[in-house]
Amino acid sequence: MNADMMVVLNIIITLIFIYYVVMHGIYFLLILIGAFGQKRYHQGIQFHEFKRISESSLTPPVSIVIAAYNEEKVIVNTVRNVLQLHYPQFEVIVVNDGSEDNTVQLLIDYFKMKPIDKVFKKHFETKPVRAVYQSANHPNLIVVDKENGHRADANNAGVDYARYPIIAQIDADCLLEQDALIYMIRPFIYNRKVIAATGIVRPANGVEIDNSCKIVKRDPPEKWLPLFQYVEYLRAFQWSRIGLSSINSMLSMSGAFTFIRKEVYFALGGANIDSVCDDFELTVSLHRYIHEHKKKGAIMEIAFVPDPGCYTQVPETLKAFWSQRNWWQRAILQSLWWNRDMAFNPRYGMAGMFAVPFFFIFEVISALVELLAYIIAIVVLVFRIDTPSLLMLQFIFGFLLGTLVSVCAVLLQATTRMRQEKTGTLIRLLLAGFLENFGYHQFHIYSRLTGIYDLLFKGKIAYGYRERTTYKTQDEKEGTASPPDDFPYGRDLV
Amino acid sequence: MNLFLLIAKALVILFGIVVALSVWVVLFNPRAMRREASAKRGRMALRESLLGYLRGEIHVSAFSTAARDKEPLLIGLVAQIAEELGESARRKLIYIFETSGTHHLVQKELTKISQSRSWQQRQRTATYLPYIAINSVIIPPLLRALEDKVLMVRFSAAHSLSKIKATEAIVPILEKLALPARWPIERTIEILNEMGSDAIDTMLQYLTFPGAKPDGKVYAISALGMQHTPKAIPLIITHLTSSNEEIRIHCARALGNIGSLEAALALCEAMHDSQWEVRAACARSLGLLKAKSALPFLVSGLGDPAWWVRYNSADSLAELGDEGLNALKEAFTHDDKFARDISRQVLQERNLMISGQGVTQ
Repeated sequence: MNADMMVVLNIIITLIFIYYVVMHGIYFLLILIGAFGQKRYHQGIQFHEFKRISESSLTPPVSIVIAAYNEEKVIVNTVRNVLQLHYPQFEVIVVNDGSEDNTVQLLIDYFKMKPIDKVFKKHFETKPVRAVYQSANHPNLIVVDKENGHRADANNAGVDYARYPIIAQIDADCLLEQDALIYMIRPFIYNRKVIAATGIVRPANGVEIDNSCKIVKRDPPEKWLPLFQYVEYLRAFQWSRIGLSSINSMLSMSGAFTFIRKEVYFALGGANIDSVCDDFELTVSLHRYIHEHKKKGAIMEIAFVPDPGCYTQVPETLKAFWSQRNWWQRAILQSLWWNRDMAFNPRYGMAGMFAVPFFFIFEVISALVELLAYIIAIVVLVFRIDTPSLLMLQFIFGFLLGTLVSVCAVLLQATTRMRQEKTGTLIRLLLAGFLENFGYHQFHIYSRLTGIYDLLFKGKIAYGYRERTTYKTQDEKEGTASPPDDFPYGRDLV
Repeated sequence: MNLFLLIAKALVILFGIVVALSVWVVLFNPRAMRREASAKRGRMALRESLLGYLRGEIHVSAFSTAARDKEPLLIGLVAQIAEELGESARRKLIYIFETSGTHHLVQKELTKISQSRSWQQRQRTATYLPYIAINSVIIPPLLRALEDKVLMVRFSAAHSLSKIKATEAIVPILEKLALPARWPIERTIEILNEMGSDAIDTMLQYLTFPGAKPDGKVYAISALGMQHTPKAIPLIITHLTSSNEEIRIHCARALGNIGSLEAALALCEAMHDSQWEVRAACARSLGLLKAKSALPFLVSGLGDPAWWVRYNSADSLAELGDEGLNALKEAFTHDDKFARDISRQVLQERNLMISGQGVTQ
């Protein structure tokens, strides 16, 4: 290889090195900001504040919208979990998005649903609604049975039927803490400027529920693949998001746990039905909405509640994991492309000047940069080019920095009230932080790269392969659960 | 290249620190858990002592050591127990802080509320003062705290003043926390409501005060409604025709909450208000009053252009018993499709009718 080529190679390796240092440096800073943000949050909670919220007749009522597509394994216990929430007034709207399994029939049978002719002002064009049901046992439970149109369409249909001013969107596989609504409504109550909020979402794979579907155990998952994701959720969905939220740059409210004022949802035109994943696009649209109304004098905010309120199932097989991460990558890429005018545009404040470029450069491009690094490594090895120390350094940096961020996320966790009681579990989490760079991380990068390819070259929108595991109550585990009379499905699907 | 090596060395050192930190956390985790358990036991023991004191089994002097060693713990526990056991426990627990061994704690907190540079500290003190000192000592600093530049401190001070039923704080609260653009109205109404019946006369006087802020009036009217105060009805009715839309809405809601038929006629008349929110609130309140005289007004509300007016009218008709239900059934022959649909929905929601099929949109 000639000298010019060597210079080019060295420049590329140097740029990749700088890229990694900057990326992990920012993540590290975000985690630290997040730690301070969480401390501030806990200091701001007043004595008996949550009790007052839970008992006040003036606490705003909430409409919980659950979009469900082929969720027969989880839907009954998810709804039971939501119905036992500790909150003065709420309704639950399950939108069956044209499921091909028994989702809707299970709901009808278990909760004694009866058809009802609901009258409402239609705000969104959605796929046709086939029927609406109301539970005879739980008057605050409604099931909207509609034709399939993806999650955004189902959420829009659900919001159309919502009666209350605050909408909570959760996924059909989510379990909520009993006080989750109280935690989440707090920013809306104490800050008029808050138009939307999200909170900490954690893997549900190690969660146990009692016979009333209340969460009683919150252990990390047993298996290694979900455990790696647990550490990733700690790092990216907990500390980093608190950090990003502190600087008004949180672009991704999890669709599994989003709260939004209904009037704002209407003003945005609802969730974008053409998007790969509606939650990322909804958050970016919210930032756009906030900044476009700022000039008119309206000050609005998105809040992040650093209390773990929601648990969602993470994939336990590589196939399901690949499908999910592929989908997320497509969602981010599509949304950032649609909103590219926000990048480096001071009109959009921190969202434009930091968040959109940050997500594009470090959440979309990083997979490609890492691919480039591996290609260079192969070229160097195959052609026996004399840059081994530089190359080795590059990989060591990648490994060290990634590990540093993950381990710090776990360590920070150990300083909070959400610490692990068992030392063995703490060791497993720390080990996961060290080991995720050997295999898990590379497979994640592969999933993201295929996501980019699938969107750019195939225009793929659909989620793809997904797995669900039934949440079992104590009685169901012991085989002593008794479903309601005339419930025809036995115990397996409850 | 040297720079690379330098950063590489720095990272390796940093990584070493993280590894060392990990090992340290793992090794000390059991110890930390033991200390946490021990702290919990200490807390439980102190709690038991406080409960023992309330039962008359332990003398107040026993807490002078706790006041030295576990000052924040003692204050926090006293507040918690007082909240659990009520007013008489609160008064008795305050006595702990009046004894010679613990009185300095009160002085310290009183200094903090006015002089601390940390707003969280001022807020915390404003929250806990009612549990550690008698009213005459804490009311003046709490009233001054209503002027604090940080809203959360003002809010905590207002809460504490309402807890001790300091009625002299009502007007300052109405003036200082009537900030609907910045501060949710519901929170202030809750504070006023917590004042209890002692606050009624002051709030009624405020409504007649010529310089009263419209926002303050809204809060007072709502709190009077939550207090179910019949003697407020005439005054609230006069405000039902106010030029301020917010006042009219809250008057309509308050009249429903008070629950006296005396307000029915005024609410029926207000069903013709130009603002749909007022009409919706009137329709809802007429249902709460079970005012049968309102039947024609509610039937007419079934055809209102606003969904909430239609829904509340139908729901209130269902509250009127057979006459209302018959009116809803008769509405099936109504010319207005919206009136027919909303009547059907309300009957179905109450399980008084089974849906045929399909969805009406």
